[in-house]
Amino acid sequence: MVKNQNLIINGSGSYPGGSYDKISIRGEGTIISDVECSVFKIYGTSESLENVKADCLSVYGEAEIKGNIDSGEAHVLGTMSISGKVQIKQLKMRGMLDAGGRLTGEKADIKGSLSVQGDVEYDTFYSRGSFEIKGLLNAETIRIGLRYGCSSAEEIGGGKIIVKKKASLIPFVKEEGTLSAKVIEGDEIYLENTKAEVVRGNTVKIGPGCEIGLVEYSVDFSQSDGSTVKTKIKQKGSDTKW
Amino acid sequence: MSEELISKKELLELMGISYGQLYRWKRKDLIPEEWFVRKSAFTGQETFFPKEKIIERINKIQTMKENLSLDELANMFSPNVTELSLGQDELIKRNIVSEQVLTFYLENEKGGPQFDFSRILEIFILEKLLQSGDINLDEGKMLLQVLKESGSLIKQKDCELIIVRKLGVSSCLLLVNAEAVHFDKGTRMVSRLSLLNCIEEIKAKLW
Repeated sequence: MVKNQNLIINGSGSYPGGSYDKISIRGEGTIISDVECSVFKIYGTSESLENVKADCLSVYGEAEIKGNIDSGEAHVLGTMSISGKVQIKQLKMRGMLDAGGRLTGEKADIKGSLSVQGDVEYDTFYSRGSFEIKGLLNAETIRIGLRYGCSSAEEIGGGKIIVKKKASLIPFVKEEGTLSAKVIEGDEIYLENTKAEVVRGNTVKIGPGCEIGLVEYSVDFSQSDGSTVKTKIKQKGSDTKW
Repeated sequence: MSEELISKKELLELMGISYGQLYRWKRKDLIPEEWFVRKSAFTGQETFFPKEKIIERINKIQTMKENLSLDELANMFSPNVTELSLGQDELIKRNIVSEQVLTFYLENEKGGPQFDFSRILEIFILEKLLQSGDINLDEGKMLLQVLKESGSLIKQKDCELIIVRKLGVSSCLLLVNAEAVHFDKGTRMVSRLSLLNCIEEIKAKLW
């Protein structure tokens, strides 16, 4: 690739897109067309009216993207909201992320709040904050630590799904996080503080604080006290080579 | 929708696969989103699939995943045609087209000796129909004209090609995302081809 120019906005300004090496926005910047760069850093407020493509994206302030985003790596310590589809291979989030379309990538590490209108697809999805997913949360390994608030997803599916409650950040406050989903399906499932209509899996373990309508399992099932499971069904004949 | 559906549970049991595998394949786009039909059953929400298509697809994935990575497989199933260009000899060597059909195609089309994917697809369909005896050379020309004119549609959508004959007069139709077609009694459907299947067949030959 040809060595491109850098775009640095200190103060406020509106610039066209194009191809840059580094983009750094310290004040208030607007990028009005498609933009591509290797490093994109936002300390202030930024608005991109079209699509963004970056190898590495860091948001310390506030970023608003009206198009789609495609990034290799992203760190969000501030707020980012995207209207379109989001592809971020390595996502590390400590702030807030709002996506209008679907969110895909390889590894997501979330400690903050995530809100997605579409589906979420990752190889590993790790959350210790709260999330609201309107579509399907699909990942090979899903680990959810419930610290506060109500997390929800329409459906959760994957290989290994572990949901555990974590101690609240504020001492002496007995507020616990909860998770709700219509359907949870996976090979190996462990749930705490979860409300779900249907849970299907090979091995299903229901920990404390759960309210489940129906559990369908094929290999093993266990339930701790303080949880309710209305119906449980063991599937026959499917415990072959998992 | 007249297709027979199969529930996810039944599918997993029938094919001997796990939830994890199914979700992984969905993530890698090996199974198209449209096939996931969500319905609420008396046992709560369940997902259903078009039975024939999904079983065929999973069989393919299972036989081929030994040799190919999931990404390569995804590439193969995706209707978005890959960047590719082959020479004449290569086409014959890979059994995509016979020499006679190739000559006929080139005479009519007057293109160069390098074939990109849309031309490979055209020639493959032509070969298929001519060899099966479903159409004659004149109809072959008509077919080519239809394929050429709607080339951009074919790559994106679920297309079907239909050839019908009535009182010895034939015509060629291209259906885009159609559910069903009906003809009057005098019309005979000579051939019906799904272009997505053709694309997959070609890709299988290219590997």
